[in-house]
Amino acid sequence: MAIHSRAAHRALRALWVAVAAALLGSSGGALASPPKPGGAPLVAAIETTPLVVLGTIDGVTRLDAHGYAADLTVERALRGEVEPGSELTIAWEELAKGRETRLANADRIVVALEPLPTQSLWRTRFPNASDDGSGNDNDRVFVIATRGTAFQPGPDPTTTALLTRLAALAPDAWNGSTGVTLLAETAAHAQPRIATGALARLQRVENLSSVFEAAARAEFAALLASNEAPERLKREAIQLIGDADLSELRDPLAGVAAAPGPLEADAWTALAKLDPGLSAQDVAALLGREEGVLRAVAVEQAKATPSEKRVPLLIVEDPAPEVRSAAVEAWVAWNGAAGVPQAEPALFDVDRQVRGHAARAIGGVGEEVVPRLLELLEGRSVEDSLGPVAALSLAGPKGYTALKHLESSHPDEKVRKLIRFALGQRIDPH
Amino acid sequence: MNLPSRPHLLALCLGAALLVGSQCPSQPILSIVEPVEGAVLEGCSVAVLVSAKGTSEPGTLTADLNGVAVPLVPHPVAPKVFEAVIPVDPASGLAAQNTLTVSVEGDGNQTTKSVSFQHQPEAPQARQITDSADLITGPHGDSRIGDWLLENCVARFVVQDAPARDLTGIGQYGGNLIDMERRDTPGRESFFEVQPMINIETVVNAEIVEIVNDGSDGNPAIVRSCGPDDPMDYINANTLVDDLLGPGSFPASADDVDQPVRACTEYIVDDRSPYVEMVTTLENLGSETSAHYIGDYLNGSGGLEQWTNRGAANNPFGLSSLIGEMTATVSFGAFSFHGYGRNEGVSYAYIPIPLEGSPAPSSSFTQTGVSAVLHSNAVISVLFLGFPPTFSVPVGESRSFTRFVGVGSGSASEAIDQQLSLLGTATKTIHGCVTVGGDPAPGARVAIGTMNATTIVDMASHFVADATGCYRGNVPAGIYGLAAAKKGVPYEGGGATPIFHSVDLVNNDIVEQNVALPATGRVEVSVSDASGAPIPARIGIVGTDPSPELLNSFTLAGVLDIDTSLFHDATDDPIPDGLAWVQYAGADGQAGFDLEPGSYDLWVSRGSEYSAYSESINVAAAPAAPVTVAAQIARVVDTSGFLSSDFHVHMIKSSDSTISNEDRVEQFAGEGVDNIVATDHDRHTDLDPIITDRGLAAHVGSIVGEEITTFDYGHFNAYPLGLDPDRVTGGSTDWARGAPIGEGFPASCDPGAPPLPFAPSYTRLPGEIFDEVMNAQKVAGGVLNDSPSVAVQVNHFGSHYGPLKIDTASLPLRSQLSAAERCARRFDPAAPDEDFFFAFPALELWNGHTRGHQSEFLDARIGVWMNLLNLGIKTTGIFDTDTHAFFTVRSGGARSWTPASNDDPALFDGDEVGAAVLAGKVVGGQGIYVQARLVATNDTNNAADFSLAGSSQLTTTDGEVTLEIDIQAPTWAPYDTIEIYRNATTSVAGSNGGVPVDYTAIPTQVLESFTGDFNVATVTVDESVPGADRFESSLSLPFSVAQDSWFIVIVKGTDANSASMFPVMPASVGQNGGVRALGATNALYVDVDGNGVFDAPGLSVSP
Repeated sequence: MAIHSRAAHRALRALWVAVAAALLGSSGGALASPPKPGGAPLVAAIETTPLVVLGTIDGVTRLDAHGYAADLTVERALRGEVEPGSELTIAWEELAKGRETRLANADRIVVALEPLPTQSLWRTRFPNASDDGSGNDNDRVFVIATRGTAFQPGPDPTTTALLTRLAALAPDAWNGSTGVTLLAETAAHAQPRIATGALARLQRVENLSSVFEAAARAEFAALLASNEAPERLKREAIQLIGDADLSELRDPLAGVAAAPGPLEADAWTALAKLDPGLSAQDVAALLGREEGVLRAVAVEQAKATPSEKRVPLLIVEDPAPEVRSAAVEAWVAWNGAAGVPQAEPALFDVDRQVRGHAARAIGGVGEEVVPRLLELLEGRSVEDSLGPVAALSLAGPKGYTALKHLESSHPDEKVRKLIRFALGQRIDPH
Repeated sequence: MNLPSRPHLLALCLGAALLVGSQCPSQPILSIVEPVEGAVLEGCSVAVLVSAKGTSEPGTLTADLNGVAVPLVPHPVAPKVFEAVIPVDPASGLAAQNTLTVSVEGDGNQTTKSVSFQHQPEAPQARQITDSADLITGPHGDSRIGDWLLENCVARFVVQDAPARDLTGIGQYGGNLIDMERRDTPGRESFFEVQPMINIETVVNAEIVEIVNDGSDGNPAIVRSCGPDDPMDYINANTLVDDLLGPGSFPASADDVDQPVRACTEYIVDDRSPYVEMVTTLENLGSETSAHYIGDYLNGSGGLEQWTNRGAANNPFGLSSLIGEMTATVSFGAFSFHGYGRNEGVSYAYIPIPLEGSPAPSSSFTQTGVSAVLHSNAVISVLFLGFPPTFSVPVGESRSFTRFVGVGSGSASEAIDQQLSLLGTATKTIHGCVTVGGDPAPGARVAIGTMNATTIVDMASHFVADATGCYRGNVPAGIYGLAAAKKGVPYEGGGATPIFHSVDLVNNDIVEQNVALPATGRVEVSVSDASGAPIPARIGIVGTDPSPELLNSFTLAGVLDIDTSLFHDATDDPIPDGLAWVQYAGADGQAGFDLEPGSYDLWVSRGSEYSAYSESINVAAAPAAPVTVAAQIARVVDTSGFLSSDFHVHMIKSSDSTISNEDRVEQFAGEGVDNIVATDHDRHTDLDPIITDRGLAAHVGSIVGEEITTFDYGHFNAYPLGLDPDRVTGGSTDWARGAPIGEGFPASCDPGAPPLPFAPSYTRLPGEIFDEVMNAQKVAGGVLNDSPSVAVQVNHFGSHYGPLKIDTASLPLRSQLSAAERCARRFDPAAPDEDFFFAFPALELWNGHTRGHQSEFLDARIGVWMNLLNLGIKTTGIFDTDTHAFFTVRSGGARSWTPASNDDPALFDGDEVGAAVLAGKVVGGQGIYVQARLVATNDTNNAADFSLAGSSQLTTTDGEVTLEIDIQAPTWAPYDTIEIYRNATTSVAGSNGGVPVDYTAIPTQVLESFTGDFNVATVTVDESVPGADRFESSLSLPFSVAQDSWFIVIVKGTDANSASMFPVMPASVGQNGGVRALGATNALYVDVDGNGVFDAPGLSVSP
């Protein structure tokens, strides 16, 4: 639908929206008011889009089954040449039903905009639009970048300021210390969704640790120490510290690890990833903790510590499935085929996921474990066959051949059926 | 293509002459006429024109485009001018920037010329189909007006319109990719569908399809379908897993969970690729991160063989991978489906792109032809061990997953080429040609892969040689073995195993490896009936295949793996043991086929009513003349007034059958079955046009039926049925009921789960399925199944009574499923127990051709039937094959005869067939034709029989009756025992969860010819035809009946006293020499109290 006379159509648009809302019935499983998209993708979009604008929405209009448009009165441009006070038509798609449109009249947003796509669906919606957004008002149509998600509703002044600075970054600065520091600052101080976007962008910086300078570290330390920052955001930051091996953040990370709470395990996990890993004392201490998730972290770090010899015992005796899983995976990874005898009990663990980890570990050793797995299958019920059968299926061609043999020869019909299942073959020939 | 005009050519010659002076040129003069240097060409192909004059030796002329050979051919008019048309195709080498290099030799000199040019293909397009010329056609072409077409220079793809509920396998919803074809080979569509999966049991139920980009901007064409999640009715994986491993084993998060998501799939076609990129985006509309087991349901279904490679070369897991297996529960890299037989020359590829950040490869599980593909997760870990999803969508966000689906020219290698290209894997090139006796061998299979000491154990790629007998493709670097084979042709070297050529693709970037297969022999057979007229028949070659399909011979503890093979799919449709080949003669009675040199016995047969012909043959390799055989067979069993039918027959539209309609009708004509009841899964198929087209109407007919296929509580055949032209399925029965889009979910099995925001939708109970068959309407209005005698039978009914836990010897007849078990099967938990039992008119007692199938009938099913009869539930026993394959010759197994006013295959009345089933007038057999008649001893005009005019029930007042039995069988189907069942006692033969569900029965009387109880006479039917003899017996047995009774007669050959029917019935030859003859009647009833009705004698169950 072409938009020719903005003022004349506003009342009609309001009616459209009301009708659309009435038509958009609740589809199966959808919440009455599901969360709207937006936020995080704006950070990455700022890096590449030609136009980033702070403005106010009006005249939200449904164009067709999925297309929407609105007027954006520009308050100021963070990037690109648009005069304050000018009006742009912006468009996006709502592919989901049963959710309020992502933008509503009077919303104040920062938004990254792209030229109207040349795709026929968009050109049908805006037949008079120019290719680059130039021309008179009726032709200046943009789409919200990143499939309609690159916007932040209700930006606070701090966030706006940070986004303004990000928009001013030179393209080659994003992966350097300047950009990284600004992204770290954004993660520490922007509104949560934008902060999450900043962390996601940091995750994409190659050799992040090499450009993660003191200022950035200070921002992260502040974020970790913040009482106001959402737990999810802090968890993402902690994971980034570990994944990117930001070793110089060990102390603030250790501070989080030392404080009992929901982030303790995340912090220990991240600490374990920092070179050179956990100390033998830390491992021993964590193995004594009540929380299974902490013991699981310790198990993975127990190699070449005095605690290593406890791992076979943990495979069978630890009350937490995640610890038994971690123990069997670690033990076989350290010892290969020589570690299989101690790992075997986990193939019959009461918890199926533990059996799965055992199967993955033992099967991954390869064909040399096949004869032993066949022995372990003898006389087993279908339930007890799960682990060995899964391990055989992971043990390569020789395991496959063994399963093919057992498929016809195993005395228990249910086990034969299980094996056919494992082989991905027909159970019911009809 | 613009050809050079004659003045242009003259100018070329003159120019050449000027260059070399006025004498004849003394060296090659080479010129690339088209394209010219720097040209910018457009279109779907590029014309090449080369002039090679002077001393050029045409045989040395070569050309390549970007390193790919260009096949130049002489210009039809201009001498010493050569041409080629290079299409847009990954195999042609044509790209945006091109270098064409041409070389020729002459007088010891070589001349080379090159030109560079650019090429821009025609833009891809997307449009809604409004013209039938846009439809993609072929054996599995399903596209209709209103669907959505994407096309480029290479290929065309159709996305079905939506919404479009039409229950048929994984194709129950619209908005999915249903048809694909190469533009250079139209009319060969042989692929069913790709249905995006959201969470194992739930899929996208598209409610809208739209064009995002029609391609007019020169960018990729894009069609998008969107919708919420809904259950995949055809798949209810939790019962599969939980029945095996116990309740709660299946991941609860994927068990019919209505997730707050909406999904859109974009189908993207660029300008020069033979594949469509599918990007499915899930948007989370909930308040928590949503987790999903994502992937697709794939069903090739057409005449295709399937192969999945092992996945990434550095993948430490994964099983070996050879043709035919479906072993990908751990990992795979690419799915390939390549055509065989009539479908040779078409192939399909499915390549998932690993999820970013997920270490697990994609995997799949295949059941009855349908493959469930999990992206970046292992089926075995998920279904067995409860591993969590690897795909999650944060609140308010969306996330996508991607795969590519392509169409090729017939080789699995095309899928591998695409996989390697899409993943950016470094590749090496293997190419070559295969010959048979020095001639090109189109269709030859070429395997390349990693070897153990003797054979390939892990295939890297697989080729079907093209029309010139050549192959070409890419593989990762490696040291491989390579071998080739062709059916009916000896292996290279003439041995029992092929020669494996070592191919070094580590130190070489490209290797040419040709394979020379020896010359082979040929057999030509003509078949006639007693009158000398041509007649369809089966030709079976008894002997040992000198070059057997190379099976996976990896050994463990001395055990051979016998299910995977190197060249052809030997898994699904093997030729029976003892036979080297099977072929059918068509309406002209002619059959010809290649056969490896050797000595064989050739058998010609036409099923249970005909004699067999045999002859020893010695086949020699060409240039020796073909072996010619003139065979004559005769009808030796008199079935006048009765029509033979197979009530259970699958073809290409069934998810689990790859057999073309053409092959199927020729096979049944050759097996002498008068009537094919076409019962594709959830499809109405009309075979009559094919029968007419093949000239077979005088030999075989058909009626439309359907196998109504629930996932986990049984299958039901209905016939005769109507056709709805406005539905792709022709009118499938919606056994799952259907619901508004997004609201197809049953209530959660978790009592603590919040209620659904809509009315739960439950699958239909058995009686409701019957009602749906009877009441279904056409889209355009009117009753769909309007025959006055629609019959519905419970197929292989252990799969119905078993999972529903119905004990036919426990009253009231009811299901003993627990509430949780009902919930797991998507049933209404409030449905009364008794509503799960429905007295369908017929039971499929015997479906197949093997000893095992006969055993199922006699050892597990017969007692269930007789329990119902003892309860007064008159139910007709049905004898058929349930054939899905071809070479197994299952189609020659059990069949049923029903009375007919006209038993001519061209003229019979389909309604009579249904009416006969409803009336219980059916006899069945494999090799044996048995009729029974009950006569009131004191009133011979008062009788019960299976004739059209007769009644299956008689009324007497004195209880004195005579059971007359007439048996006929060809002499290749000997029999020795008659069992008579009268109000028989049954005994439990199997149970499910403690509920008896299988019963056998104890005969009331047994008669044995070898002890003199009855006589088997040999009768010559036609002295002019050798072997036109039959066995026959006639008996009259008096009975004094004190209560209302039913009588059933079963006739059989026993292992100790009768020879097997091999090779006419070639099944089970490894078990006591093979399958024995078997025949059975339905029940004849005696009302002895004179009240005119059959009063149930009551259950009689042996403890």
